[in-house]
Amino acid sequence: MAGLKLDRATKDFGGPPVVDGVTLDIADGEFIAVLGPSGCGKTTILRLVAGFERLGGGSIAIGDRAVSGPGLHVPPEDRRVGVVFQSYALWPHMDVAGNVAYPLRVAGVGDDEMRRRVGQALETVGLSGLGARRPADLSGGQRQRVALARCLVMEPSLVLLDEPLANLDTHLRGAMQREFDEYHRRTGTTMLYITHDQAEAMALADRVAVMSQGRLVQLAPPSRLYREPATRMVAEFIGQASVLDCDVLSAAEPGQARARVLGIDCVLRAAPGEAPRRAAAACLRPEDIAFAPAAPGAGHATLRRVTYRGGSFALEAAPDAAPDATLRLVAPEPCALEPGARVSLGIRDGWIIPAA
Amino acid sequence: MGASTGRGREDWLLAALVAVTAVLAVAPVLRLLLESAFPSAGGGPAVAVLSQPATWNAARRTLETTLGGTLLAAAIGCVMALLAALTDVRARPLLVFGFVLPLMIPPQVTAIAWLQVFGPASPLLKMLDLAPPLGTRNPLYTREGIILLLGVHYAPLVFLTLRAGLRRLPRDFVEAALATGASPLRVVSTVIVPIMMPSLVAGVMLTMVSCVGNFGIPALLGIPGGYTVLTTLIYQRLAGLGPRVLSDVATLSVLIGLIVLVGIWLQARLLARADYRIGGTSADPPRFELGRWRPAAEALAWGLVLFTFVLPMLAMVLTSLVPAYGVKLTAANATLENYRFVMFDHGPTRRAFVNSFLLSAGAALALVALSLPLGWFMARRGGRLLGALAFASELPYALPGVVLAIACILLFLKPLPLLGFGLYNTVWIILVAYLMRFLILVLRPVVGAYQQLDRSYEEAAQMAGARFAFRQRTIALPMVAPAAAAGALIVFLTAFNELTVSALLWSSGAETLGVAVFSLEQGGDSTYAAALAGLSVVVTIAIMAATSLAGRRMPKGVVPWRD
Repeated sequence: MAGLKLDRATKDFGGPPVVDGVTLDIADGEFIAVLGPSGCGKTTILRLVAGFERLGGGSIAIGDRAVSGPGLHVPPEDRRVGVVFQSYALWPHMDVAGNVAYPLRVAGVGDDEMRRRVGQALETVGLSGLGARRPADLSGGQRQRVALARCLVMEPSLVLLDEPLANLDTHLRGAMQREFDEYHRRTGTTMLYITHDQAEAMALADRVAVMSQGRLVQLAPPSRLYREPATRMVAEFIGQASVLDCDVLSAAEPGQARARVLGIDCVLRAAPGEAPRRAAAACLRPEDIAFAPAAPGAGHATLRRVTYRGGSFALEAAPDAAPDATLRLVAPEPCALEPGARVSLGIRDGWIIPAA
Repeated sequence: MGASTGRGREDWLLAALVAVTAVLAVAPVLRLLLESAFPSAGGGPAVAVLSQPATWNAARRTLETTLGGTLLAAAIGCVMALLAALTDVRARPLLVFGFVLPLMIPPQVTAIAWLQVFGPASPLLKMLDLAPPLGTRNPLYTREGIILLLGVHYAPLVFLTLRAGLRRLPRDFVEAALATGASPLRVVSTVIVPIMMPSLVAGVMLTMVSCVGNFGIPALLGIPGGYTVLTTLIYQRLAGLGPRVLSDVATLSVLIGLIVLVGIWLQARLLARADYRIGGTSADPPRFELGRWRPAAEALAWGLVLFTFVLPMLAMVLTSLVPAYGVKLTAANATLENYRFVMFDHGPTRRAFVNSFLLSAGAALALVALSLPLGWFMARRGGRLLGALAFASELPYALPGVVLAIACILLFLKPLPLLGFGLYNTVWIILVAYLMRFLILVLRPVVGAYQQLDRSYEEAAQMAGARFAFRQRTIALPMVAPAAAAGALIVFLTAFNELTVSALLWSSGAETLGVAVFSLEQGGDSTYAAALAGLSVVVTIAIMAATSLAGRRMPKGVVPWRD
């Protein structure tokens, strides 16, 4: 069992840094998702931890063992870190059993022992009896399971998963998510899960690390990420949000501050130490904003778009106080509002994004 | 840490590979340049050779035959490529195979076969009672003859490059144009032709370079006809006067090398200017339905195959069955005596079969052994040194065979330093020359295969704890093996029939098949030459067919004549 520590990890490929001073401290047995838009450096983090890339600066330790740092690079084959690749990387010239047995072959495990452990691993992922198949003859979900079994048979203390569900159909993703979840619960392995899909990250991870442009922006449990985004980028990247200019009117008392958003006075949640200031930003989730149809000409906002979401409608509105901003609202079905309708607004809740 | 020692062993392997490759790829070119800058004792200054009228005469004739041959090859190749790649003519695979065959047949065999079509002893003409009287000069012993044969021989080269380009052309491009209301002919002229220009230019320049360096055709047609080009001039000088004219012929071969390099440079320039990156998603190339024109198109396509392959091969086979040269062939007097003679009675040809087999198999195996690890380093590590080496490996193949042969003589005429024995006048100089010349034929597909091989396959093995050697053996090698095998087969085929290099490097007892065929024809034994050439064609076709069958399991594009 092993935790994972990145200390100011930095990497560039001859240009601007792709990973820029990332510090992460992951406890033994924790499930961490690294989430970010493409090109944010999340896959490079995985490749640095696995040892496929050499670290540019800082250090990485797996458990108590330093593996990357100044003058130190333990090659991947000596790290005993399991990796599930986005492409699965199943060797086409070996059958399923051959793929799963490979780490044992490398380790010099005897034939009987190997057969037993391969059988066990295949059974765990629900592929008993498919050992003689070629990877090409398997479905996407089955290939994913073989890749997982190959990882599992090594009994690694740390497993890295690189967008493992990116190539699967939507309905298969749910099933595979359950598979990962169960694997994690059963083995207690530390897992680092790279994804660009926030729903996946929120569903699986104990904590989510949000990355942007090579930097770690926020590391927090999913609900905290949703309710208390550290930056504007996190607020917009996670879930639906209206990020609006606001004036903070009072210092934060236990977790709350008075504020004015779109000319409406309200009480919003705030970080400790929040002080009165102008030009702050507030993150309002759709369920935070109450609205009601208003008489023509009156009201606070004009509806721009109405999109049916199955059971509810997602609305976009332009507030009078800031016509260029977009308000995201949600209305239960049935909803008689059409684009162009005038509505009046009320703010129930929200979060003042801390000053940078 | 075990890490540093593992990496260290990799570095030693790499250093050894780089050293061997540098000798094979860089040494011949350097030696040749050195010779023309500082001629060795006995040789006159380069200026003397360059001021001889014979030199400029040969250079002019090289340019004439090259231009003529290239134009003819381009015309035939373009028509065939358009028909085979863009239309719905039937039996396309067979058509492609039949049309590409002449390229796989060595030039000296092409020449021998065509000589049997036209000459006074032509069995075909005799059957039709159209043969000119014996003693009449063969009409192919002329500039026009050389141009015709170069054109026919290299048309498949234009065809292959153009067809490869056409097959990459996404269907979307054509369908988008058709959707605007353009007629198929208009689509061809406004969309397909402009996009295909780079492929066409590449094919044409490749053909020009090949024509300049061709030896077999001008040797068998031009030497009897007194029409000397640069390659045959070098051969005649060296064969007639021996190594003391080495410096002179080195200057001549640098001249050929320069012509070729200008061609390659021009090709790179033209291609750089017309860079159409092909996007699009559809994998299928477009196909036009010919409708009622299809029979005519098929007749044209098969007519070309008949003309470029069947006709000369038929003439050659018939000649090989004739009891004595000039006799009219009938069902009654047809004989296999000529085959028996070259296979069993004639010492030099029997030796030549064994020599060529061992030389080409040995070269193919050695090059696979070198290319597999070297290709991995080139694809995975890259870097300036390996990039330069990859470029240098192209040179001995891009340069005409005559030029490489001269470089080999210069390198190995004297005993090797330290070792005390010489390669000149032994069979080993031919083997070394083959290794130099054909290295790229294995290295290129292997590097390509490694590059296409997703890194994650090897990384997954690393993750599983496998070290370098084990990883190579269990993951990387099995996955690039088909490409290496295809490369090795091409080397075997090319080397088995090779003439240009061995014509200058052979010695008694070290004859190759190409030399044996060439000597028989030059000595006037056309029936024996035809029989021996026929045998080498049979071997060639058998190997090609076997490769085609095996090619079904190989990645796309490694077997040049297969879809």
